[in-house]
Amino acid sequence: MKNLILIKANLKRGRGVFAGIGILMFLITVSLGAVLNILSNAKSYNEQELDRVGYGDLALWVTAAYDSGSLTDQILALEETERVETEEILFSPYRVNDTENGSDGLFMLYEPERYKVFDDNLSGYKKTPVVLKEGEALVSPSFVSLCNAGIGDTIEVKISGDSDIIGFKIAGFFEDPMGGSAIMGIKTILMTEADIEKLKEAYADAKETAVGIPGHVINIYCSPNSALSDGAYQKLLNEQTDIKQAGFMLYTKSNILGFMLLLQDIFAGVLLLFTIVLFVITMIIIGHNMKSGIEQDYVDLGILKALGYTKRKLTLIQLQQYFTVILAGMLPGIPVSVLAAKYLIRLTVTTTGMLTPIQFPAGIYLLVLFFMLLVLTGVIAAGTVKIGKVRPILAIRGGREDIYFKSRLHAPIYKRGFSFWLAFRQVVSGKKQYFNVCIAAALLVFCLSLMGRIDAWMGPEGEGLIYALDVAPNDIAIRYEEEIREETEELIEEKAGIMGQYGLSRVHGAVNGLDYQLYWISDPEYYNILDGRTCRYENEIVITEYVSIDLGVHIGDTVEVTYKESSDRFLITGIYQCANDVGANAGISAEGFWRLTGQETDNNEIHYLLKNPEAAEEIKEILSSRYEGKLTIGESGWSGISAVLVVFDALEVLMYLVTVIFIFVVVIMTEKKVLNQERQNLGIYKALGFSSRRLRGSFALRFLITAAVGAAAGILSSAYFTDPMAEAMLKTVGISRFTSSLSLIPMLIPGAVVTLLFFSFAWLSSGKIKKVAPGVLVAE
Amino acid sequence: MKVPVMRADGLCKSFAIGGIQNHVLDRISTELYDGDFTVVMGPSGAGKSTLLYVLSGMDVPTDGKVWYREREIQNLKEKEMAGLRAKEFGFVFQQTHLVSNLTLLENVLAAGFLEKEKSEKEIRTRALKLLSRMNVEEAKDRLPSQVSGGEAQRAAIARAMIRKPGMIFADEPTGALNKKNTEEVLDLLAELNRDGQNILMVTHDVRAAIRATRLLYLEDGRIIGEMTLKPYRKEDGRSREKQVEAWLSSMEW
Repeated sequence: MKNLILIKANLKRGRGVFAGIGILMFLITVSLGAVLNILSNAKSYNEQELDRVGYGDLALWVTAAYDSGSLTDQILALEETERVETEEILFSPYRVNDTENGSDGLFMLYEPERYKVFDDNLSGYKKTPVVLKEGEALVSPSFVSLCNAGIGDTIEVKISGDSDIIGFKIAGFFEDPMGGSAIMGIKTILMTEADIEKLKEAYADAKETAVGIPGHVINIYCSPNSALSDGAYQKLLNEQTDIKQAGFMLYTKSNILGFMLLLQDIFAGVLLLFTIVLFVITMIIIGHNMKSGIEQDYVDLGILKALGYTKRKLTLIQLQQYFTVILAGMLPGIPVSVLAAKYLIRLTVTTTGMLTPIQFPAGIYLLVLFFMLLVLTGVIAAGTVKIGKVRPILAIRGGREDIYFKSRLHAPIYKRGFSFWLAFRQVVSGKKQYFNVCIAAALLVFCLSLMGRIDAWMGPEGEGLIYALDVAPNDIAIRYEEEIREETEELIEEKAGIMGQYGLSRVHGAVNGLDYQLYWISDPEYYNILDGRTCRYENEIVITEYVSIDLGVHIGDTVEVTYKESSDRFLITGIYQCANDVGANAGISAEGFWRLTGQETDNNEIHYLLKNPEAAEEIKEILSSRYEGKLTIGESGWSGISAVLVVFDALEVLMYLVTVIFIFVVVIMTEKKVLNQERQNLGIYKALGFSSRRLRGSFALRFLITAAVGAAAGILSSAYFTDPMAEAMLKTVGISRFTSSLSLIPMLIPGAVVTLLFFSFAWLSSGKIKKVAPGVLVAE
Repeated sequence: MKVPVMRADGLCKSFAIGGIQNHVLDRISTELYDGDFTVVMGPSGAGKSTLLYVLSGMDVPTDGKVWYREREIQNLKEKEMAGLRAKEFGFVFQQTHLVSNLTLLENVLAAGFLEKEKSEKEIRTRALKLLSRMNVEEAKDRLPSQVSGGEAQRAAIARAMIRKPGMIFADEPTGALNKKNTEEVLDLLAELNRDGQNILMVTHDVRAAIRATRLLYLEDGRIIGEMTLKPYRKEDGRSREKQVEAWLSSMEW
């Protein structure tokens, strides 16, 4: 009871500071809960939906030209196979709102009971199955972010050329667990049986010139009794069936999940990192608050000791009062985190394509919260050590002075810029009080700078990321008939000047039995080599870091490369950068490809590097109109780039938003302590003739100075640590080398924003200086 | 004919404590004159310090008006009042009230730097001169917590003097000092007054009061007695003490 009275009194007196701690803990709990909710539910839900919709452990896409019946027999003959299901499909290029997808669309039959259709505002599903009419189609909500598509827009399906198209109206959006994420190029488009037939007939009529082809998707289900992993099962299929010859695309369920969850993982990963930073800042603030609180309550603590309170009792009171506010912040944060996760999921449905339901991950969440409480207990317990040093007699006799202003550092004061020098002096002589501001500024600037550097690396249109995704640099990629090549190149030379060129092709192959994209290039020097050297000779291969880890092979090892029925051994000479298919690819030379297949086959796509890259768009337009039907201009980059940019932009906005709240709370907490402590000094300054405005300015300048020091540390540390940290994060998307650079202004922006926020909030919160009258000095 | 520097008319100050109105100042009207060292005396709780702070604009009267050189001060805006304090008023408090993390010299400079017209060099020179005059030059680079009460109070007087104020308000300036320091500080104030400095001081110490040229006696918020004295000379100390004590006795002190 006695403790309760003291705790209540302490909480009441320090309500500003304690409210601040409560708010910080609330923010951390919400942010952490949202991350955990997304991470734990997204995967299980996506997996569950893949099963429900009927995707197998492996999905193989084959063209109708191949006898899928005999292939399924081979697959079923394996002991490890449980069953195989085949579904009719059409592959065709398409465009929506003039945006052409780099990959073909998968046109499939709409089955009302099988697919979940979103309601019009994408916040839930339609209650009754949607009846699709002829001429209508359903697409993933990621079409919204990819091509700004809406209900009523037209999907133009190419039949044989740019003008031979059939249009379908988008009637709604469905949840596609296989390719719904904007990061994936392959997109499923659902339509009526009549429309599928209509397209098939159109392809048949177009004969040789048809760009779309009918085919099948074969869903292969591994036996539940099989002990094989996805990879091992895939290897077995490659070895014992003809899938290499038949299929042009094969994905395991884990591949699909990897792609589908990539955006959520990046989003949640960065948010988690940010949450950890916020927690570290909060720990520092609590620790610092403990120390300065004990200093401020020195006399009271001395009196309590004189009354018989032991150090243990006083420590317990401190623990109780801090835990009261920590729990008061945490407990409401738990249900709010569910709402936040739901909101974030709804907000990102146009990029992730999935409306993941939230099932509260109580176990892991509570475990993490418990761990946080344990850490905080340690911090608080460490902070109470000073209680032991409080000596009643010294405290009562005014020993407080001995623990205040321990720093006797003297920074000079000058008349010119007096407010600044006065602020500087205050910071230097009472730097302990501003330590939390400095640390908070440093860590927040570090996080924001890290995001800024990743943003700068990606470029405004994602060109940096495209470069990382590309197997080799290029400005224009053209696939054309040989007879027009000469005049085309003359035109390119005339318009922009050709600096270099190479032929590049991509096929679906296997390395050591596992499926990867296999590139072969006419000039291997163009591969983006990170380690070792390029594959100069016909028996050499370069692989990505992803493949190196996946297969456990390194430079100097030999691997077996398979393409259809051909196979040969290649020596790994280098690690190269290409994040296509999250890095699941390898590269050989044209000679190497001829050695592998025994055929001299030309590259079908020529990539040009221009002397004047800015002319690329103009050249593309001229070529498209002049040689329509005779060439195809490769879409540079990747359709998912816009989704990544949207996610990163959203993350940046979210981080800045949380930063604003965080800074506000840190300022309020610090300001309350400082003003309480300096009330008398403020009275003196006022008696000397200092105006409230000058004192407020000087007070806010202290925060500006401290935050600027922290911001400088944050900018410097981000310059040193961004690259390894970003590399570790981006490795999951196949980008194993990250080198950031920032020009001066963008580098300074996060620091300037954080510093100015500290200054502005300090200025606003110092309004109470106006209320400090010199009368505080009256001692009658 | 003495020229009034400050004028108070019908000054009232009341506080509500537990719902009961407590009249600390009760319709006080008085004038403070150029060249005077005015001392306000009276029993504890008479309202001496309240009168000083209301006259100096540090506190606001419940009723009544105060003029400083014909300028009504209670209606001044916060910025104007700050300007007036910076230019015209100097304060010396019982508890010295030096800024705790500034050295003695910096405490004086801080007040001096508010003067726009003078250069930093001029202000520094004057600050050092004042500290030297107050006999605390050697302690100028020490923090208030590192010097004696007397040194701190002398530095506070130097700070009050840095802008050559029209009036120094001193609230029990020797209340927290020992005998030796008390004498030194009081002599300094008397010396400043001899040089023409106007001073209004609140005290209940007869040794302080004898330095005055004019004494006001306050009781229950009203001025009930007044006495004028010749300018102070040290050798007259004993006789002045007797004179003041007699006057105080007549006030039933």
